[in-house]
Amino acid sequence: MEHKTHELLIIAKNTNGIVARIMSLFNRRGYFVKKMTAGHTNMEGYTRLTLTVEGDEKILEQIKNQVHKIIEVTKVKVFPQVGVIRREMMLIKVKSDNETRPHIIQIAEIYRGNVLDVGPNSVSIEITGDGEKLAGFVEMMDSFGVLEMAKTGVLAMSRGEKM
Amino acid sequence: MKKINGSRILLETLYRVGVRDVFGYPGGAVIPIYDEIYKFDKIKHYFSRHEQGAAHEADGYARASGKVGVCIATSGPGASNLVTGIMTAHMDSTPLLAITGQVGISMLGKDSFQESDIVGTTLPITKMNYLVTDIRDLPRVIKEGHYIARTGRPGPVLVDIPKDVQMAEMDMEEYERLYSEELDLPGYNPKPQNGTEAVKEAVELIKGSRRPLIIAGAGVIKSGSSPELREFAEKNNIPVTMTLLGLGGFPTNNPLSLGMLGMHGTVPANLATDEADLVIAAGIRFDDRITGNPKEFCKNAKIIHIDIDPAEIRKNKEVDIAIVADLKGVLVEFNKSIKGLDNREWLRRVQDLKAQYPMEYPKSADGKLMPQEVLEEVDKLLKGEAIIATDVGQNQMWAAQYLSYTNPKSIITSGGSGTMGFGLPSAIGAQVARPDKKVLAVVGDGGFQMTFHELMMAKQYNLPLKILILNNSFLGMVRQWQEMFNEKRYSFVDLSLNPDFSKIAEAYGIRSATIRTKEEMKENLEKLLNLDEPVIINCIVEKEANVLPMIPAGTTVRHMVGKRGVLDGA
Repeated sequence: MEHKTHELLIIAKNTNGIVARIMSLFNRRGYFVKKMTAGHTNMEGYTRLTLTVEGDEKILEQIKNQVHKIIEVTKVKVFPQVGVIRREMMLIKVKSDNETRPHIIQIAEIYRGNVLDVGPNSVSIEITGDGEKLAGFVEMMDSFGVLEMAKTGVLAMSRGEKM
Repeated sequence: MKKINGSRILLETLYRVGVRDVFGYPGGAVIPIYDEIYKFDKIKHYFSRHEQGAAHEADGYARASGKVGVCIATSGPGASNLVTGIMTAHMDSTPLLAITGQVGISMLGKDSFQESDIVGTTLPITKMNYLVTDIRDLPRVIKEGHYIARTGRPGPVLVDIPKDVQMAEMDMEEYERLYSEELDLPGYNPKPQNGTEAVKEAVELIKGSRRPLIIAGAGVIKSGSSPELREFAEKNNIPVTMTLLGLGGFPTNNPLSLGMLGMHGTVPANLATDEADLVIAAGIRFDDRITGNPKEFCKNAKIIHIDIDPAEIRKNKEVDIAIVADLKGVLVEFNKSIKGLDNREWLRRVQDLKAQYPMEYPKSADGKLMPQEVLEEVDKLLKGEAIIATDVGQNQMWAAQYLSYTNPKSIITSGGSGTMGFGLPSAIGAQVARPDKKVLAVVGDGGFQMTFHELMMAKQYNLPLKILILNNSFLGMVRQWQEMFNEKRYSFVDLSLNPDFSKIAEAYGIRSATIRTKEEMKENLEKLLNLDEPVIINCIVEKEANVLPMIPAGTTVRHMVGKRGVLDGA
């Protein structure tokens, strides 16, 4: 079976060490986490994690069941490939001078990026989108010289009313 | 207004949730708890001589009684000494509550004296663990920890309590209020039930099978479903084999029993499992010591897997029907829907296998005692009614093979983690839990030396357990592997330089006897086992006896060696 990447939604009580508890499980069971985001949610006292993991259906089922065994975890769900909004955010700092600056800003606009900071020798841009879009933008910036880059993991949410 | 401190909250809450006995060892970071233990007479504290002993004693107590075993240790090295015991309990799903002291909150994270992150350390080997930094959390955490340890698939829970939390005080009224609050565990479902559909399908599969077989695991014992299992097997003529931890879940002397399954299981059990067309896996987790190569295991059978833990389903073995539920309820359903299956032909085949392959071992050439014959003699005397605690290695496998287990909770053995040194302390814990029962620890000369300091407890509390050392002056199981797989390169397994076990007994004020010959055994064993005091029985046995039959690790029933009790070609 093909190893695809999947987004795994975990909602857990926001106790001390909950992220360590989840990560420890992934490490010792040999499940590979590619990306992770974590943060508060609309329910007070709960935290929402979105993990990007790799594995076939059997491994995913195992991961789901194992994660659910963590007492504080209240919900585990594997997002289907379709019917889901996925977003990543990136801050990227690019080398620039008077000549290249307008080009960089123009490309950023095409990608609907926000220019957050302009300095004599650099431009910092915020870009939001799916992984493919972000990768495309990085490729465009490579020729100018990428100085620094910070990325979140994937944020995901089902379309429609249901979680 | 009446006040209560953290240490008292711990003890009072433990008492209220049903704890009457604890095992422990004091130290700097638990002095406030021990001060309250001194004054609190509703819980009896058993003074271990090493924290690892305390953890195994609590584990043995839990396995013998079905109740939560509780152990207490101080911070740092005290807590880390519990780790082997907690891991052992985790691997075998025993309800254990470990209480550790911790340095004061203001000292946390500063590498203070005897500070250690025991919550971090035990993260992967506990079902749940807590660091309590606010006294107002303590009543809930103790109640919750105890509840989590014993419900669903049981397991160890650790509660780490900083010293200042132990000493902090709150109003008694507030304690009462906090204690009476309902537990809020929205993510915890100890009673999963994946619907009646799977059970219905299973019933049809069972009715249609020609060669059904039950593999009974620890889940039978933990769910208390031995009577239901027996009814199901007997009414439908279904043979039963057991995992190491499942022994006694079905009486091993029942005509339908095939004895133990797996690497050192009986020949009939392993052959029948291979020939069966339907395997009902009841409360087992398809451990590699059972399956060998999992792909080849039960190759000719459809499999119904019943387990309370959804994460066990298809973890090690693909199955046809998975029922995630408490086993007892499922067996009750089976018993309602299935009656009087006719498996006569299959049963004849199984009985033939049993007749064809009895447990065998070679007679010793030089008149030395064979370990197997010692256990056969023990079995004649105890008749499967005692609680047997074993150590790990050959002694454990022979005890599993040659003793009978007629009741659940009658074998106490470290299955998953294979912890040497488990035998004696777990026997002590079992005897504390079951003063009405005869308790026998079957140990080897190697493992016994890992925890024999706990002998002092047998003396101190006059626990009349018997300790049978199968003394072959070898680390026998490793020696056996070196014989079979490393051309007899016996690397660091020779224990000819053993201490004098009779002098160890004497030093602890415990009676001992050494048995070297058949005559000595016939003459003394019964008398020794019936003494109303702790006794060490040091049996000098054949040095190079092997545990057979054996399915080498990762292979299949077709690779089984020693079907007749001797190594092929030997």
